Amino acid sequence: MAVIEVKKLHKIYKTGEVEVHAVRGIDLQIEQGEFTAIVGPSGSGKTTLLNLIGGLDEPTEGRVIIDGTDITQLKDNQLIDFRLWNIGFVFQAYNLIPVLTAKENIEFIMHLQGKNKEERERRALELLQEVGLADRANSRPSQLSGGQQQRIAVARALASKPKFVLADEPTANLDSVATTNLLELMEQLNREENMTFVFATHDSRVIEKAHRIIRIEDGQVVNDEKVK
Amino acid sequence: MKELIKIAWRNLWRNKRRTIITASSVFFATLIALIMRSFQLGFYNYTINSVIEHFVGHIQIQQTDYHNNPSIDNVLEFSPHIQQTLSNDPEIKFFIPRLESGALASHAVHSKVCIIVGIDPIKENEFSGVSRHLAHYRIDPQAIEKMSFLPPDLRVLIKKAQGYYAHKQKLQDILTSMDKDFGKYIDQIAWISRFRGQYLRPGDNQVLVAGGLADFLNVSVGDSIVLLGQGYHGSTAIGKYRIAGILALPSPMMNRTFIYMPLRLAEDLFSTYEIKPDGDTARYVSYIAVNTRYQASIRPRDYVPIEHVKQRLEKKLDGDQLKVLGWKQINKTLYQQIQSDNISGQIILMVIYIIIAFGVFGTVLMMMAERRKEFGIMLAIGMSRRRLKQVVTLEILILTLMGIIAAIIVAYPIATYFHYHPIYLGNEAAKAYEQFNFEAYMPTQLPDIYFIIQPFIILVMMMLTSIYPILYLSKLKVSRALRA
Repeated sequence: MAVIEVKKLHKIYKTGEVEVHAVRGIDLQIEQGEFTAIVGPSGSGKTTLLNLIGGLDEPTEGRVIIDGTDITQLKDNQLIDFRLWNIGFVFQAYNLIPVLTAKENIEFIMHLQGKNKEERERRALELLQEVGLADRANSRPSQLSGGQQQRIAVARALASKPKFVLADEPTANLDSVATTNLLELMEQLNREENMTFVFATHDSRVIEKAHRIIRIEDGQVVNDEKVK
Repeated sequence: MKELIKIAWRNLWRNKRRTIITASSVFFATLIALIMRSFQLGFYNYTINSVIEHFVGHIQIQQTDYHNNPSIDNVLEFSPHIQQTLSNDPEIKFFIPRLESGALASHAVHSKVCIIVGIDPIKENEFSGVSRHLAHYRIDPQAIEKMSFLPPDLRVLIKKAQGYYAHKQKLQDILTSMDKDFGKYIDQIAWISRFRGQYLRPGDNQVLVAGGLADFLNVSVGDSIVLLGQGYHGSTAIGKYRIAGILALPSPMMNRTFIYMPLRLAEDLFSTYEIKPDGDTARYVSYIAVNTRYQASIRPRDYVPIEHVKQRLEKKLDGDQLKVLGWKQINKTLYQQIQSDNISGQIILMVIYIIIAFGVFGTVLMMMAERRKEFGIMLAIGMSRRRLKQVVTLEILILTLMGIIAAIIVAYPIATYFHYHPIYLGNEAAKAYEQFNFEAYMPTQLPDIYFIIQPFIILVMMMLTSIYPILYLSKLKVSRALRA
């Protein structure tokens, strides 16, 4: 069974009198363990599709089924809870909680899940080891480089043991070394833990690493191919 | 909750300057509120204490018509039944009879209308502490003549302070309010202006005259004054009395008009007694002032037990052609003056609270606008709206509590100090206060429940500003917030 199933998805934004059809009837399925890139030019609808898959936005029409649950039918509170337990997010601008240290940022998700202190600390340290930043556990985001922050953001996304991770332009603010390191980390997690990653990107370095590339233009899938 | 408090606390210190400025505005609002309220309540209680506790009494028992027509004919018998009823009531601390009437006081070529108060010297002193007002100092031209040690400007200035003083402290307060340099000479001034007089004894044929009246009549201790007035049932009241002492009374009105004499002497003067058919003598008084064992104050709840005692007395003394009145009925004007001042003070405080609440609201608005994306992220990663609202509310709560607690810590010693060292308002302010028959002292109220109520009101006002972030976060669209 597909971990992500999208059926006849439409999203229309209304700005005053103007209607923008950002997503036009997309159908797709993503299986567990895929390393998928959604690519396309700016304004093609990549981020909107990612937001709809992640339950951050409501579709105008269509369904998003995550591991058998139709999230378009969930109420706001149920959706927040669903995201907490099932989806990991990595954002373009890292978006760590600035007042918490690296370790606390990772623990925070688990705290929201109600996990006990010991479990939170153990998992946070594991993840810090995995992303190679155990020595920066007590640093605040402002004390970390962009690449380090994004690695912490990946660790945070994985902390809740989600079914998949959605990453919106994760490398947009990173230099080439940081990008390479981040992609290697995500590939490793995909390979070793069978973690599903879905990226929205137009960064060629990410596209090169992707196992499946879904190309979107004007809100429609124009090409969907498995490259690895 | 611990985690949320940690986040809220750290969030506050992301913008230290803003947090300090906002907390300071809460601090100053609370400090002003507490100090203002402390002086307000202190002044009311000081006034009530001097007028009600020490003169009028919590309750008065009068003849039915006396309140509307306080004439010598509307007296009531100070009967054994009344005395017994009052003595047997466990909630009554004290009661005293008084016989009051107007008369003309004369000495040599000077005459003035005065109020004669017939008192039981011992009981009255316990009740109102009249002897505390016995003048021990007098600043007059003869005394000033002897103060050659004073610099010329102070010798001119001290003429404005002529009059009687019961205590050296009051003399010092008044002189130093005119010029601080008087402080250096206060011991010498007090020594030169010392004045002798004695309090009344029960069998005395002497009187005590209030300082203002004594000045007008140009009399002093040892002189005699003639009192002329109307006695009971149309009789003529006339008598000549030696002055035992001069009183420096706190109320300027009383200080201009009052003469105290022993009750028996007043009874003789006004003929307020009758031989009954059974041979007993009925003695009449204007009223009986009663103090309960409760405290009279401006607070409505403090009047409740006094009202209960009053109602009980009304029932027990029913049928005796008398009226039992509470202090709010007797001193309606005083009560209304205090009430209106109290309300206007509270309105001023309310305005301060609202201004500060808007200041805090401005901070909240900025906080919300700056952190829109962050809120979106938190909602995206799975933080519930409820928890997010809790964090923001906690931030406002902590910010407010910082200001409030600091203000309480600072205001507490100030309120305590000025309770024991009241501010004397100085000559100009004193005149304004004297128009309302108040002494120009401003003591504070010792910190009590108002130190909780005022900060609580501020806390509630500030917490009202959290309604906006709560509504904001309820409606925040995650996808839009992420694009911010």
